[in-house]
Amino acid sequence: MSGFEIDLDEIEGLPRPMRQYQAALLASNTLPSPDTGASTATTRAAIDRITALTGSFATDLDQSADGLDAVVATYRSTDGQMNLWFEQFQAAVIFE
Amino acid sequence: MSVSLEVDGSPAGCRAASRDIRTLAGWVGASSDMLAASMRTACGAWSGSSSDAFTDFAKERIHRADELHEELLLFAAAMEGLGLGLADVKAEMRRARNIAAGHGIPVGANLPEVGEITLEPGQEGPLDHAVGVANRAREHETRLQSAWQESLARVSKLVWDPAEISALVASTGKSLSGPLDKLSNLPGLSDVDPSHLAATAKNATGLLQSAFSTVTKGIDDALPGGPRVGPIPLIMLMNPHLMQHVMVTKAVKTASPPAARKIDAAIKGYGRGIQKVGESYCKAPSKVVEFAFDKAKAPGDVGESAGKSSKHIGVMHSATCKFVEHDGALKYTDLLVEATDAK
Repeated sequence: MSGFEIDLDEIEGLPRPMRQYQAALLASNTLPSPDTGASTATTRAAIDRITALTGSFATDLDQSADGLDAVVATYRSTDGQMNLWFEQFQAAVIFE
Repeated sequence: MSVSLEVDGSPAGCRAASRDIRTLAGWVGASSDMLAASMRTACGAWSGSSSDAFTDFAKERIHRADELHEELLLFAAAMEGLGLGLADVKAEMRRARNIAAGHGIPVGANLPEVGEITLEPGQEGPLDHAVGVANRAREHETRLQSAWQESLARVSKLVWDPAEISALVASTGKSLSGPLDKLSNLPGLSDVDPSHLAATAKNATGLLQSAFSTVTKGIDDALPGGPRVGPIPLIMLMNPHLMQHVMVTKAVKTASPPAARKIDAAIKGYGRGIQKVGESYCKAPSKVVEFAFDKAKAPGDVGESAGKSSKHIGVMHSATCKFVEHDGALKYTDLLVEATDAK
């Protein structure tokens, strides 16, 4: 086991708020681009950049939720069998 | 030369956008707090290298999100300031117009300067006053736009993933680090040539197949006697992330981010296909035999060892998928499982 322990009941509850906040982020991520005069086009580009950055955060929350789901599903499917090699695979692959 | 009284820009639009950006900033901050709380919960309920990986992942995102939160607040404040400033400039231009008009000076979109029109007695002073007000308002607007450009420039430099920058300037190094060192003997990986990445991306199946073999062998070594579907460990079918094969993706990312994105997408598509087989197997083992193993009818020990009942199990020799390039990305189109009778 190499120090591996997991309380699946605790961990399986984590993805839900991640997805809720991801949805809230995406819902708030449609921003108007105001007329700022001579800089209006550059303002539009900045707004687009902000929405892209926030979208990336939302994507990472989704990835995190998926990763935790996968961890729980995988650990359940192993019926408690776990070892360092597989642990490291999880570490390397899911939360890359 | 006459002085324009027109001022472009919408103060109300700036205020509205500022409010929306603040709302978004609030959600980014709240999401960061949520992620931090999740990390604390995970730390108390999960230990090991996968837990450490999650913690590292979460910490990194928390820092990025907090920085983004701060930048959004600054940007919102700057936009609000621009809106207020534009409102002031517009008010000053109206004031200049009223000063002139109040003394009978004809004013259109522009304010005439002294000497441009014939003035009645007593109009020169008010016009000079009005022109001064308008010119100062224009300077005010110029300074506002200059400050706004600084805010825009700051936003243009923001990135979510610092690696996006480093990857763009990275060398074509192929070294792997951390846990991936253990997987560095993946067949085919050392042969990835950055100059041939486009071809590699179009022919990802070969890389996937080698990964498939390597992962299978690794699981065999690590979990001998674990549940299987034919020669494929059930864990692998249920966890397509194993197939996502980060070692290839990460190595190629270093060399060419665009190609890596294509391969990444293709691998994920492949993973979904593999997952379908696994899920089908768990729900109805006999059906997946028919689906995935065609006419294979040989009995096997997979169902029993997986805690499921299954009568017909074949041997899966390989699982491949097809990719097509669509809108610049590789799309997974089909999963082909080749199997023969287990006898």
